[in-house]
Amino acid sequence: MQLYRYILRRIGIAILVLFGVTLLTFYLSRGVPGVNPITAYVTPTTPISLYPQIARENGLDLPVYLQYFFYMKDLLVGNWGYSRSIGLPVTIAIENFFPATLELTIVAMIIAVVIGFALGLVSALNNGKWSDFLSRGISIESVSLPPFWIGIVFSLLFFFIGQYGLPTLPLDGRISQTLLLQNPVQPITGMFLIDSLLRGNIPFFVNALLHIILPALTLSLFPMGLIARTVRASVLDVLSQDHIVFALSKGLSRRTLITRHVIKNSLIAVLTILGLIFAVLLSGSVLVETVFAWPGMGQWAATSITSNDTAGIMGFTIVSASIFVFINLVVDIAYIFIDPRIRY
Amino acid sequence: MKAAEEILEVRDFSLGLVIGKKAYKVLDSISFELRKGEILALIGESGSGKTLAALSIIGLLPRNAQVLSGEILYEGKNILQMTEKERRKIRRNEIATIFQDPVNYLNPLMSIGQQLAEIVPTPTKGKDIVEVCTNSLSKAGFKEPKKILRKYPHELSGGMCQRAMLAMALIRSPKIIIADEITTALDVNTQAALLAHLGELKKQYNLSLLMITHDIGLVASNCDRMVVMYAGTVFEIGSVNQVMENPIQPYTKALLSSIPMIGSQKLEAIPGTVPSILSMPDGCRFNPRCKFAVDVCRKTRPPIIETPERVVACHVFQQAN
Amino acid sequence: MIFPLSLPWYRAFLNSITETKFRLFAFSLLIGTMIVALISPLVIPSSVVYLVQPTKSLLPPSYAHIFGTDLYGRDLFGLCLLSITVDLQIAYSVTIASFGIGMFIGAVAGYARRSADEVLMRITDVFLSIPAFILAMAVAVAVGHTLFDLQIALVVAIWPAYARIVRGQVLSERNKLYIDSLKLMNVPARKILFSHIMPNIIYPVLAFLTVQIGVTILFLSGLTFLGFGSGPFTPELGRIISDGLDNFFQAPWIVLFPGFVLSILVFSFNLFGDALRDMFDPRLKNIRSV
Repeated sequence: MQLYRYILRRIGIAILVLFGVTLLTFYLSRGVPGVNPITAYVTPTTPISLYPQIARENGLDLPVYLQYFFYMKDLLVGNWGYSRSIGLPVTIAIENFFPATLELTIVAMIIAVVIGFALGLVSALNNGKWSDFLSRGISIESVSLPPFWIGIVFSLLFFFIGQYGLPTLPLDGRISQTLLLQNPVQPITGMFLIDSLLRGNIPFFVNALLHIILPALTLSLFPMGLIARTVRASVLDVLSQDHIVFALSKGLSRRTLITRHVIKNSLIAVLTILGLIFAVLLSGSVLVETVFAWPGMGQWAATSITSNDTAGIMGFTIVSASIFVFINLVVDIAYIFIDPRIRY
Repeated sequence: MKAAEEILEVRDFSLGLVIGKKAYKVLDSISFELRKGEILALIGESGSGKTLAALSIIGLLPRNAQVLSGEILYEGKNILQMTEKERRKIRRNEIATIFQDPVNYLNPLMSIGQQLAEIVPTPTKGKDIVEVCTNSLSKAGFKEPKKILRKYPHELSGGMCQRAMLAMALIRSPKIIIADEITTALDVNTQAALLAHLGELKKQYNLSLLMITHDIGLVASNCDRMVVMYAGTVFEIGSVNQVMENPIQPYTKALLSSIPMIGSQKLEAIPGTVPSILSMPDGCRFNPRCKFAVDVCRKTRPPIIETPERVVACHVFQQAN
Repeated sequence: MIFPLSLPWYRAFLNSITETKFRLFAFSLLIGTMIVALISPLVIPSSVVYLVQPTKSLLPPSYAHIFGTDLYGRDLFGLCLLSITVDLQIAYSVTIASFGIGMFIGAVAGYARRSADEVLMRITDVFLSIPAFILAMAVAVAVGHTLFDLQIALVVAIWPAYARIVRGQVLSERNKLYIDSLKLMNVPARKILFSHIMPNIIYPVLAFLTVQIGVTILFLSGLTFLGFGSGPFTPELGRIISDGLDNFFQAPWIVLFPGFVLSILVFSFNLFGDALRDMFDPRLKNIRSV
């Protein structure tokens, strides 16, 4: 029962925090002077004569503190406004773009975790030797690279490779247009890689895979560095703890020691920064999707910025915040099952 | 004769530690032996190097340690010259170690059962592993071993953790158990129970115990022989009875007289403090605090005088009288 | 860091930083970039940023123009150096502001009663639940596009991170025994917090801060890349890169060099932060060689 109370408490706090987020986005979209709130609710085709009526419907004529309730009502009902940078209502935009970003993020995260963990482990176990410095150098470098720039560099690299006739990777979009027309896949989840496998459409899968490699790799660099650093610090910390001495005195082999005692105890550290990793992935997606013309939420956010599309930006912010809060909630709860010392 | 009795021998062993950029000799030519079936006490204050000595025996020294000279012989073979693989075998099957502060020395994320199962010899499988573990736990003194298997270290008391460590040490039927200050974190009752139990196990399984401690009372009531260490040097070795009744070395004398007795009015402490590794005095390392120090004590290391039953390292006192 | 009481802090710092080649390199690199930042505006005329010379447009790297020129005929090398100054200026002021706010809130939250802590942390959590870069974007959209507005957006986005780390450090420090003795001596809470606890936690916070400066620079260039800032004459590396995107394949140097400079800039902070973290670690732990 204690467990349920703890989980409920955590969920309650998460919801509270989300309310706070809506308050913040509300303030940013209405309370800051210089922003005309009506723009969020009208399409280019709406005649100006209708503006007063629309304003009334969304409570824009009321004092600011009352407007918040209308704002919340709108959010809960599904009226998130109209994103004029792409000409779609915000909710439809999210529906369309979310799967693309989700797919990209998941692939990037897998790459980041696998390579990052390996780098950090190698670095910690060889502390002081040249392989340590090399891994450290790589991980520090990968958190220093601006993601938008490195994406461009990759594009340039593969562009020149293509120029010389070598096999190259596609530089933009999720799938080649021709394939999309000739051999499409009916969407189930909206994620090309999964859908094409489920439908057995291998050429589609391969094409989608080729398209996702570069952007996912670019996106994974920063988290990879973070993970490598965290794993290194965590492994070094575990290695200096007393129970390692006892484990060694039991005569365990090096491999058993590492796998059983070191890795398990260090995984907790990675779990701790999992939320941060997601935040980085979400933020990075804005820049990476722009560079690779990946039709996801990040690119939508970028175009919203340049057109001063408040509805778009706020919609994107709320979705990102919700994902982030959810991930943190999951991590908090997962902690209980992984670390037996935690008392609730 | 004497050679047939001993199972572990440390001979002229010197260990250095590199701190900052300089090397310091932390263990200076120590020698002692552990005889079959005995309980040998390694006694000294904090900083005397006793734990380092123990760790050297099993080969688990910190990275900045260097073996300077000497040998450590187990059943005649020099541990210092073995490969890591051979040393691991010894740690697994021959010499087991248990440490103080057991809650910290056990992996907090693994259950006791899991940590026991790690050392069970590989051919055993499944249910047999559980049986071996439960047996070991009952050997260590647990009344309900099956329950303990699933518990985590933080759920057990200090004494129980200590016994769990003991169980782990016993699984492979070692010949020697090194116990590093295992009673320091325990209350008096638990201490007594644990030591009594250890004595029983020793008799039952023909073990030899190396007990590292700074508690003289413990030594007096449980051990057969004792090695007195100070600042990385061995000052006196002898049977507990003889040394307690007739200490020869000044340090041993001072140590024993600082034990508060019922009815005594004053506490006799040894003036001064144990020197740090970074600034060891020349000559005999005890000379700044020794009542009987003379000139030669400040200049040269004390000679080691050996008889079959007593070893003394001193310039001034060189015979039992 | 072992601080023997006999040495003043700057001596101990110098000793520690010269202990390994790694730390010396990191420190020198950082000092180097700061020197460049200080000297550039004195040596390079501002006409480099504002003077448009169409005849010199898109020249490849040469002796006259080490990094080549951009679309407007501006010397790319001078532009990059001036950007370093701008970046560092903004990064420092943003860091000071967000650290000030975050440290204060975090310290109070860590030391005060549970109820105050909960309230402050929930507020901080609201800001923390929006990924920092995205929050900066949202604030920038609302507030404005000038470089000054960007700084406000960055401060809003970054202060929660400082609040959280300071709070964590204060929480673990306040359970230490010397705090109890200070309380027994009737030292007022304000004094305990700021004169005793804060100096003791400054070291790990400092390492974090150094890395955060690098992160701030990355955020800043990300924002200008996306289009914030004062238009094409914003001397900021992100902006230069996005301006160069149009002619990317003909004149790749416009994109390559600024990005390279940017990554070295951030790298120097990250490297130094890593070196600081090493120095402040309780180093006398024995790591067994496995």
